[in-house]
Amino acid sequence: MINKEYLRKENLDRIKEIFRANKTFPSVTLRDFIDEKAFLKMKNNLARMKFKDNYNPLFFSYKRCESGRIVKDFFNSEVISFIEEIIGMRIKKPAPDKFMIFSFGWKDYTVLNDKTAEKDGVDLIFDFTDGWDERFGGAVVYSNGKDDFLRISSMENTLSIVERKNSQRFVQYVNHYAEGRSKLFILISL
Amino acid sequence: MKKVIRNREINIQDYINQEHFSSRNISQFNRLFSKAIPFPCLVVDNFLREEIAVKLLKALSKEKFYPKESDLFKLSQTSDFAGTKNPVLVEFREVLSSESFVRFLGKVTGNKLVAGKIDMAGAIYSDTDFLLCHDDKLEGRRIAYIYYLSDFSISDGGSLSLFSSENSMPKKAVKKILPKFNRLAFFEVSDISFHEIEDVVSEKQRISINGWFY
Repeated sequence: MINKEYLRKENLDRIKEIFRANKTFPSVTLRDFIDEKAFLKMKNNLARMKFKDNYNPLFFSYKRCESGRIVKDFFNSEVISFIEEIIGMRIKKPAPDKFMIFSFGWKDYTVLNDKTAEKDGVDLIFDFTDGWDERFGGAVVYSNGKDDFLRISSMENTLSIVERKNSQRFVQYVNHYAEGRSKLFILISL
Repeated sequence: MKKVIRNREINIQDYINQEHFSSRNISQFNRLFSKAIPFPCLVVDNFLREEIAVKLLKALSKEKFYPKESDLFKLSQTSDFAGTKNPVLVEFREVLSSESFVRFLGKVTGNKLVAGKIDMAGAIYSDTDFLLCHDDKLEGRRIAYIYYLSDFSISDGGSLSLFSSENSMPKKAVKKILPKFNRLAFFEVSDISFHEIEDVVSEKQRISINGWFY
């Protein structure tokens, strides 16, 4: 399922290097992460999923669906081994509430919040969004509270691996230029 | 109603429309403010004398606005007018923080407010700018105010939305206050004064002067 280019030893070593290069926000973004056939299958399954509104004005607004089959398809043993290789540690199976599929459209957001602050760990963001423009907003932003930020933009079939070290994430407000479009991604917090 | 500003005596009724100070209006304002839903608030149109409002807008356009962005907001803002050298803005700050005006506002809101203590800055919300839901609570803040210097319609966005609450948490936006030139809006800051500024969705600039009374 994983793009074979990423599995070649020299490329894998380079990915590990990139991941560790950013000391504040260790991270790497891998485009065309899985092969086209597997990606289309997941995308078709996603189109059948039912999303529910989640709205708490002080903290968030988005649509979400339970992980179900899609995350199982994505988070398989091949992907788990690949990620373990990059981050250099074994992955424990996360609790079900750490696997989420999100949809963010116009007026959606999350804000930083002490009450829901997460412990240090690793985020996997796998993006399904086609044709998203940065000017729509909606970037996943990591902040360490010291004016340092890491922005993860949206691109179809892209996996971002981000280590949360004294940092928290929020999803930037999606503005009206998104019109009827929505940004769709899986978020797995390890 | 008189206050000395920089060795010059001014009358706040030279700035604020006199009609607002009649006993009848003050009683009516007080009734409207205290019974407002979802929490005490009031909108006063034609707040300043028209020529003063125009002068104020011109003065504000000469101030430096700093873009600010976070998870919670995106806008441009001036520094607090306590540090401005612009005489028109200094004067406006003095007028609103004067004993006469603070006494008037105290009667309208039923709050004991402190004369001479006010926060005041200019803000511009341009296309896609916003301020998400929050309550404004901070030590000592009693009344939040916004004085609008631009005219918006519903389709431009930029309204001030006030939220109903349940168990001290915001539930739903139930009132919208549109920016209108020379309109003053104010509300009581409390545990449930949840509000937001909707994103601007047009090329118009939402220009205002806002802050808090203590």
